[in-house]
Amino acid sequence: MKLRVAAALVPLSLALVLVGAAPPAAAQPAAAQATGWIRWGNWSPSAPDFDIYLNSFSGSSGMTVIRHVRYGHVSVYRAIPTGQYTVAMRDSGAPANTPPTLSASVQVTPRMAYTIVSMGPASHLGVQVLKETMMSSPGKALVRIVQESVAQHRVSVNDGSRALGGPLELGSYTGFLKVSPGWQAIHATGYSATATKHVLLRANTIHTLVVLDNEGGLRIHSLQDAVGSGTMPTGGAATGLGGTAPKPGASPAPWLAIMAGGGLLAAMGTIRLRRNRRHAAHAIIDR
Amino acid sequence: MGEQANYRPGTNPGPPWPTLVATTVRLWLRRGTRGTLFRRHRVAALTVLAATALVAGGLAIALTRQAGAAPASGMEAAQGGVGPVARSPAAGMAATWVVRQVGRDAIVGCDPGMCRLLVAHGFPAGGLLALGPGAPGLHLCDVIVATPAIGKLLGGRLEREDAPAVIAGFGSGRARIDIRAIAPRGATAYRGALSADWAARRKAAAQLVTSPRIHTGDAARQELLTGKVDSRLLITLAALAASYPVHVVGFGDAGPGAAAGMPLREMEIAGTGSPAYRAAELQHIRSSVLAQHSVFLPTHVSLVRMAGGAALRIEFGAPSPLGLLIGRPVTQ
Repeated sequence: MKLRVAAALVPLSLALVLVGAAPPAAAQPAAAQATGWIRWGNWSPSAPDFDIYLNSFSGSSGMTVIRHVRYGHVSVYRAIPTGQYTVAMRDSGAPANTPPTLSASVQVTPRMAYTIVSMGPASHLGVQVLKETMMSSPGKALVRIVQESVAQHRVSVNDGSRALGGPLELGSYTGFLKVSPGWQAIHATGYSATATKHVLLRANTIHTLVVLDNEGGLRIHSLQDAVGSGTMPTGGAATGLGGTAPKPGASPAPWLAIMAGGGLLAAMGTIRLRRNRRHAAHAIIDR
Repeated sequence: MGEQANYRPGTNPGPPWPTLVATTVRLWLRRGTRGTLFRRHRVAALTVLAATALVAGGLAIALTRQAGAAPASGMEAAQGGVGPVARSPAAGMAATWVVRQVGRDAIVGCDPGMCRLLVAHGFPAGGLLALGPGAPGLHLCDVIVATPAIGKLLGGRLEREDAPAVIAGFGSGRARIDIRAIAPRGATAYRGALSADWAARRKAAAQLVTSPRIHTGDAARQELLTGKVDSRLLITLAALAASYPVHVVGFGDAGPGAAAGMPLREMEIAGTGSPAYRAAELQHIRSSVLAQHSVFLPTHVSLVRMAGGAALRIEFGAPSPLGLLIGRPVTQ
């Protein structure tokens, strides 16, 4: 009788384990639909360190905080429920009762990614929301130029053979341009400074090239926004950090097979053990 | 503009002319009694003094009249003979409204007479741009006070292309004065931006009313849901609700005679909880609101007494910026 109960419990416990371990298959697409991605780029050379606070209009999700990011860097992407958000800033280390300064508002739509950037000098700090493209071009790289040099008011950018943008004023940016894949020499030219950067642009990737100040000159910062179409961006490649954006869920079939196998082995082991004990008991009685 | 910038109503006019003349005569007589010249030519000297006093008195009267009439003369000249519109009640109301309602970082275009009137009402001269023939500076303005003189200057193009939206209007007929928002990229682009902003306001407000920390009456809720509320108020409300539960008493002030779709730029909010707690809460909210910068800093924030108790009135300046909810860049 006990054996029968144990045998019945094995698949039940196995089912419970599976329910807890595997992502709810039906809920996964809905969750993906209700999520966008957001990151913050600090492109303001003289601004103090500050943190970014995002509050949803609906009040349904808690406050999202992105801690300070060094000049020229971009935070990793963070998944965020869709909806309208306020964007506020507060100096890093400011007392908790200091009110954050409202800076912008962003509307996060499903499966879309946004980069909130601070730019310009500290005295005229600007905040801008860049909407990222999620569709790469087959066999091509997509490139966008963003002009964030404060020292050089107007900057032109080319890849040696054709103009990619400009003259661009501070805070302005181009649309995404199709570029042949491979190593490209990108040249930025201001009125008194130039910069060249060799960038590997792989096919089916999306890049943002940011023109920044660099100790009296210019520099070009390359961000890889996304790889392939339909794949969510995984953060700034040049920051040296990976993305935290969730990747498409892998199929649970191998895990199910392993767990089912394990459960079967455990059940067989239990049965075998009980049989051995029963044999041993019979042997003692027979004696 | 230079003259207008230097014009200071109520500056010290100096001693009155009769006092000045009397003092001059008195001193001359005192000096003269000590000398021999005065004694020798007493009659001639008195005649010269009397003539001098007459001339000085007349000059003083003439100068006083001229000074008093100067602004009106300037306006009439600017209006090209249309009439003293700047003296009209509509002009006064328009000037009062602009001074109270237009944001301090906005540039207001006006004819020279209206500019002078605005300065006299307390608008900062640095925020005014006097428009002359051809109105070359129109694209630099955020708002234009469309007096009949401006109408003559710019013709139908103003309403058709440069400033299609009325944000407030005063008076009627030929004396009507409209306050208009400038469309820097033309009327079609402006209408498109206004339409997109309205859609974004409705969408954002639909989320705002679901917040468990924001309470509204039926009228305020309806104004939110129909997209009538300025995006700066929506963003402020969402930010405040992250820290405090907020009761929205109402919205208001779209401007008298404003075109349909012009957002409401004023909000009254009350605290929640016990009366003692509410007062402290409103003070905290006031501090938070006044700590903002740039487009998110209201033009007026005041504590008001209402039937239900104290409330905080928050007013943002005209014109309403478009596109804030859909990622328009903001400079702090």
